[in-house]
Amino acid sequence: MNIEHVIEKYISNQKVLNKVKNSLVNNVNELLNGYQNIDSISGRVKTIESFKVKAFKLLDTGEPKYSDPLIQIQDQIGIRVVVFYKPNVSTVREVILNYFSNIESKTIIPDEDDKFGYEATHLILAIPDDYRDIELGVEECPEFFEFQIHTLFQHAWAQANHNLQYKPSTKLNKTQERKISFTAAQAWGADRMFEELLDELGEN
Amino acid sequence: MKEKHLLSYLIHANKGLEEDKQISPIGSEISETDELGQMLLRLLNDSERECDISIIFSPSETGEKKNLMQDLILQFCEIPSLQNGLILAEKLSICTPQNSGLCLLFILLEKNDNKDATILLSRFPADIGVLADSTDGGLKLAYVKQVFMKSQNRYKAVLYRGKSVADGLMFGKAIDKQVNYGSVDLAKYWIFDFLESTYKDSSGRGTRRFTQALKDAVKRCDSPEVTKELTGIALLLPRLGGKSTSISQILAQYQLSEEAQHLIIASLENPQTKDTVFLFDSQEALSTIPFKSIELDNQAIMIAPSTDFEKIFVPSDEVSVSGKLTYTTQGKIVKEQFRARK
Repeated sequence: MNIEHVIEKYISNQKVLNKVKNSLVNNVNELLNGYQNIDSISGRVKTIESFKVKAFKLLDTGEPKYSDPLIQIQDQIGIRVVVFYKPNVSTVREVILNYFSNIESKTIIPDEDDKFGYEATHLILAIPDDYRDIELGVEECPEFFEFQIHTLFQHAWAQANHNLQYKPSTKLNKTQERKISFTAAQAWGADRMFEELLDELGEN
Repeated sequence: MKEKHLLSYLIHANKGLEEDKQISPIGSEISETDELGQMLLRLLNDSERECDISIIFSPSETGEKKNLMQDLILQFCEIPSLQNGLILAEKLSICTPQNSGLCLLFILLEKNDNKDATILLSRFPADIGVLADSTDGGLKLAYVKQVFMKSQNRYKAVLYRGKSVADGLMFGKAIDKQVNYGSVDLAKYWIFDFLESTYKDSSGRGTRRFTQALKDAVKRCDSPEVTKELTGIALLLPRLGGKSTSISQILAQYQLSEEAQHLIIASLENPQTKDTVFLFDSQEALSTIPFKSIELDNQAIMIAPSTDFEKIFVPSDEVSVSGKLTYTTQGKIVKEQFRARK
């Protein structure tokens, strides 16, 4: 694998990836049109910097994680839907799975029951042939994209936390880690309270 | 130089049988220089054109990116042994329902150091035949029970082609003649059970693609005659529910005029998707179909674009005691037709 060639190719693919991303955002907008409690639908193409970091990740054995990053990295395009309440997550998931083939669908929660942190629903979906770009060629255009569903509180926490936890100038100390967990617990609690309120008010 | 591996297995239908009643597959290798080997290599070459159903491996029941069949195929690509082929054969055997009977499974692999791997799994069902021998000058006929043929209406195959085995060969191209004949339930064991896959385009995607194109075609159409054709097909679509089809097949099935076909295909985001096979979803069609029709008990049928139906056919405010309504409409006659009713 020629590192420079892969990055050059990814840079030259940007225009087309953005075009495919826009088509997918439009399609998701159309599919979710009429559904309530959708806060936002957005898309992004993975930044070149972020692609570079992921493309050259190594396994514990020292071998490259990806032998063909342009094909194997499945989140070059990402679409995110933010909904008001937790029960809306499964509604969006169901609608999307009716129109896209998936190879993975997972609810991300912290590994341990007594920990609080990033929570979301992530799907890996096949890009339908309607939007796969002919200019890029079948072998060059990614076959998949990542689809995330967040509640407003999950989204707010993830956004606010991202700059603090992953880009610190120094490593967080124990108390700072606990503060991060505390904010995650509050976001989890807020989602839970709204879910219970919806149930009590018969809105669920 | 690509290495080639050709294997064959005799498969008994073991689905639903108790373990002690199951008959294990038997396999053998085939030389690529044999007449049979040459025939199989031609089959491999033709399969790209023949296999027209795009499929994708399904995730595990818990949503993980894990698929047993994908693992078995990748394992075979890495070590194409008779034993690894036997594991695939055993899986086909326990997925094959009793009414599908005996078959031969051919596994053909071409690869180049784990790069450019192409693998074809091809199922020839057993048939009966008559052997004609005229070597002694006369004609001797013999009834043969186990003849394995690339049957016109029961042939099944799947082709995976990848730049490298590491890609995971996520997508395949399948052929299932029983599906093509519309009997999805009978044939679903090949794609859904044995290959643990699903159509690359979901029923919702494929159906919506067609109804959207139909809607756009009507908007762009300036010929009343073609508009009527398009309206007519929209009303027949729910009958396709549960059938395996493609846009090309629908257009051919309803014998649409060239102009109507052109309008629909030109309305697709990617015209190549006209050949993509999907399971037709009549509920999806009904929710996106651009036309509404009402049939009255006096045999009158009213058809109009669903968005404007109430403006085109205005119902009376009052309903008679017997539940009868009066609809009114106004327009110029552009075509009048008499049609015999079967």
